[in-house]
Order: sequence, then C-alpha cells, then structure tokens
Amino acid sequence: MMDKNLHEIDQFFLDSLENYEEDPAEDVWASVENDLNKTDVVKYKTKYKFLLRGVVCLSLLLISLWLNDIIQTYTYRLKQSDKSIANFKAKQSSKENNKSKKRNGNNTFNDVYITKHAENNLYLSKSNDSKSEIEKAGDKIFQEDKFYSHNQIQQLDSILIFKKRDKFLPPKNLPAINKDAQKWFQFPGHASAKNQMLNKQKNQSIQLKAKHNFYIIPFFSYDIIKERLLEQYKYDNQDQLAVAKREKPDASYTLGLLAEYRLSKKYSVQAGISLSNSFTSISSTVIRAIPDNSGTYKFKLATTYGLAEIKRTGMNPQNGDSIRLKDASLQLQYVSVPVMIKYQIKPGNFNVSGLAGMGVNRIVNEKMEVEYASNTNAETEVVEKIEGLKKTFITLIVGGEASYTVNKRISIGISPAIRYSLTPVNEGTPIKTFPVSISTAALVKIKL
Amino acid sequence: MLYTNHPILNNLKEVIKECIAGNRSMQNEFYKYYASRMMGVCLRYSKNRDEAEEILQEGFIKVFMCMHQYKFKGSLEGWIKRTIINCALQKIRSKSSLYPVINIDDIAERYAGADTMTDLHAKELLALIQNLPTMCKLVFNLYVFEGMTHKEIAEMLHIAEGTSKSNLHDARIMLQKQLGEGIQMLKTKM
Repeated sequence: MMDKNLHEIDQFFLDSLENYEEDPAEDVWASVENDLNKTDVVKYKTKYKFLLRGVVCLSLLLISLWLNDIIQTYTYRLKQSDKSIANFKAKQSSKENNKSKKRNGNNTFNDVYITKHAENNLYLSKSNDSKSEIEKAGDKIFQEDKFYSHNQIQQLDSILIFKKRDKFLPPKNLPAINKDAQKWFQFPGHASAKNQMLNKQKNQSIQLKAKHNFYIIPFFSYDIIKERLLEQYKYDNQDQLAVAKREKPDASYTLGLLAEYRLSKKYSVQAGISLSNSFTSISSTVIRAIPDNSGTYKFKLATTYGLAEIKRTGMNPQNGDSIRLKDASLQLQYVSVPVMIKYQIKPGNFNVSGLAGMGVNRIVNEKMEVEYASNTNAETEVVEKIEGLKKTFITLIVGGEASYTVNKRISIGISPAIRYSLTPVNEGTPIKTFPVSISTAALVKIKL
Repeated sequence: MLYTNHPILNNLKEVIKECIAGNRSMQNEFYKYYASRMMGVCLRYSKNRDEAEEILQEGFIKVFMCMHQYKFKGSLEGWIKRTIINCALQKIRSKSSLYPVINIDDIAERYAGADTMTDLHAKELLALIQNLPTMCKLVFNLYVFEGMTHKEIAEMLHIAEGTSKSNLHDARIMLQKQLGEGIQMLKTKM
C-alpha cells in the first residue's frame, strides 16, 4: 500500500510539473548576451591568435632559413675562395702546360706548386720532410689541394708553378730548377699573376653572391572573381540563378609581398601576405519587405555572398512594401596568407615555374553601396554588414610563373594563378558561395 | 507555451544556422521561445529561483556555443533540455557543499504572491522538490521527469544503482511527508 502511494507521488509530480513554465527575469537574456559577446571576443581573439601565430611561425621559419643561408653561403665562400686559388693554379698550370707542350711537345704535368720568394729559395716537394725544411727556411709552398686566404696571396712576392713529377729537388739543384721553371712557366710577371689570382677571387665572390637563396617578391595582380554556388534555400522565391544573374564581377585587384626561399635547384617555397579588393556590381531589382523570424518586416537584398539589410531611413516596412533598387556595388576586402611550393620547369635567364599551395583568407572589410529610387530623387545607403558572410575561408592555389633575369639581383615576371575556395565564404545564407579568383600578377623578384 | 506554428519551428534549420553564425537577434528570438519552458526545468534542479536563473543563463550559453553539434536527430527541445540538465548537474557538483538548507516554512512565504491556485499548487510542488537533499532531488528529477532508468542515473551521477534506488525511495518518502506538512501549513495560513 505504502509503495503504491509512493509511486502515485511520481505521477502526481509529473502531471503537475512536467509542462511547468515560468518566465525568467528579464536581465537573464542581458547576461546571456553579455556572456556570448565575451565568448565572441575570445573566439575572435583565438582566431587572430591563430593567424598571428601562423605569421610569427612563418616569419621565424623564413628568418631561420635566411640565417642558415647566410651561414652556408659564408662557409661556402670560404671554401670557394680557397678553391679559387687552386682552380687558378690549375688553370694557369694547364695554360702553361699547353704552352710548354706547344713549345716542347712534352707530356702534361699533374700538379702545381706556388712558392714564396721563388727566385731565391725554390724547393719543390710533396715530401713532408722537405716541406718542413722549406718552411724553416722562411719559404712557403702553396699546394693545389690546400686553401689559402686572400691575404696570403697578397703577401706573395712571386709565383711560380711546377710539375708534380718533380717530387723532390735538393737545394743543390736550385739554379737548374729555377732555370727550368722559368723556362717552363713564363708568367707575364709576378705582379700580373698575382692580380689575375685576385681578380679570379673577386669573380668567384660575385658568383657566390649569386648563390643566395632568398628573394623578396612584391606583386600586383588583376583578378577576375567567379563563384561556385550551392543553393541552400530560396529567399523571397528567388533561386540561385535569379540572384547570380543580376551580379556582375568588376575589376578586382591584389597587392602583396612574398618571400621565396630556394630549397634546391628545382624547388622553392613561397609565403607572404596580400590584400585583395573584390568588387561586384548588382543590377536593378525590386526588393520586397519580407518578415524575419521574429515577424518584423525588413528589406533585404539577396546576394550570392549573403543578405544585405537596407534600412531606408524614416520607413518602417510593412507587409506588401517594396523598394526599387537602381544600382548596388559590393566590395569585399580580405587579407590572405599564402604558402606555396614552386617547381622550376625551365631554368635559365628566362625562367618558367609551376606553383601550388594553400591560402588562408580573412575578410577585413565588407561594404555594399546601394542606390534606390525614391519619390523625389535617387537615395544612396551604405550597408556595412552582409548577413551570413563568414570571416575566414581557405583557398587552394595553383599557378605558374614566368620570369626574366634582368641582372644578378632583379628578375621581372608574370604569374597567372587560380585561387579556388575550399570552404564557403558564407554560412546560413540562401546560397553557399565558393569564390574562384583567376588572377595575373606582375612581379619583381629581388635577391637578398 | 510552445506554439506549433511559431516562425522558429517553421524555419528551424535557418534559425539554427543563424544562431550558430552568431546572429544576436535570432538568438534572442530562440531564447524567448524556449526560456520559460527551460526555466521550469531549471527550477526543478535548483534550490531557488536565483540559482535556476543562473543555470538557465549558463545553459543557454552552452546551447548557443554547442548548437553546431545538434544534427537534427531527435527533437531540438529534448536536446536543449539535456544540455541544460547537464549544466545543472555540473553546477550542483561544483557547489553541492554550499547549499543552504531551506526550511519548509519558507515555502508558503516565498510563494505568497502567487496569482492563482493552480500556480500556487505548481510552485509549491516545485518548492518541495527544491527542498529535497541534492542527491535525492537529482535522482527524483531524472527518474520521474526525464524517464531515465536507475542504471542510466547511476552512470550519469557516478553512483551505484542501489544508491540511486534508495535515493529515489528517500525522495518519495520526504515528498510525501512534506506534501502533507505543506498542505497543513497552507491551510493554517489561509
């Protein structure tokens, strides 16, 4: 009996309270709205932080690559500067060898040595013992397979080059060697030989500079904006075709700065930042007042990007009201951060490359200028917000680059590209829009 | 009162999309439509009206934040209710030791301004539930109003199934007793 009563309590409470409703205090919504605003701020901050982190990471990566490039180039230059002596010696010896061959019909020689104070104390040897003897005597042997600094060359009094096969010649044979050497290797003179060597080094240094891997690329592009559209629902019985038909893309453009780092002979990575402005003209149409979800009648122009509410001053739209739109222009401004891989198809002065990558785009400004007919004259209004427009969208970038090397530091070129949106630019709108930008950029590549 | 032909229900998909996109006026419409109903739920899980409003506020924030997770499977109202109940449970878990003990004598005084007998009846019953010990109140609400089994309640509240059963039994006993006392007290006051 007791149990039965207890179970009846359940039913009694359920029947009495299941559909119980009570209005909360009015300030509850204010608190909810306040908290939502705070959450939005946090959300935007997080998004911006994400963007900021991306930019910082990218910058750090580029800086570290640049530093690495500088270090590598410096090391390479050191090695090459030493090698340049060796190359010079080898070339000189080769020249002399050819000359000697012409003169004597003799065989080639295999190695070269350069000595200091050659005319006074000349030793030729690859033997360590002999070398130490020579060094003790204040002379220096410059060997092909070792590297010497610019200063070392500057300090040379004279340069003579000898055959490797003359492995060791004792001092007693010195006059004969001197004679032999001068006979075999006739430099135009010690000073000019030294100058040749220094010039050669200078040239090598210029060539090394050309090996820098970093480029800065300012560019300007002319863009044609197309859209891939997906109809979500009809607004005021207007389908996707009707909305798209009254829109016409105007000339749009992009300004930007890219940094390019050469990973190898064929591959480079490009990253940077750009600011795009896209314009769309909207032709004349009639906008009817349509009730929103709260039942309030509003004039909203349906565009492929979203709904633009026209708040005609002094007019409270009612059922059956309409306005005639004469003309409208939609402007979107967005910042893009592209990251691309570049593949060099044709190297040389006229260079052709292919590009592929991704870009994160953030809409920073949206504006629609509308002109509508009134009883007296045309009125204009600026709509600052397009309902449903998303702030961030991601694009796939595919393109190419053709550039011409003007000089060692500067190249000019053009870069056609297609930016295809992977994510829609809007949400909750009658039409889901994926912008597709076809652009041709004029660029200048500057070697750092 | 929920209207079956309300614009919110007619354009539910669009409304949800707008709410997800952060359209504040749409969120306000959405809130207005569901607030009183959810307030009734919050009152059952709370100790008093202030706490119920706190739960309602947090619940709706969570609803708007997690709205993208609603996949149009099952009723939206049920989903909102579950979200708000979860919020209530979270709040109760974090503050359970801080609850003041409410005396049943306060009930009649608290609802002295009630407009009708029906209203008074419902509010009084609500007060009886609010006056239950926390665990008994939770188990009673989940069992009676949400139709959950003891197994489900035990999993949700991290208690043994037997504990859930005994809490429900205790709740019923206390309600039965308080119901008798409350009626007696009201009769005396009137």
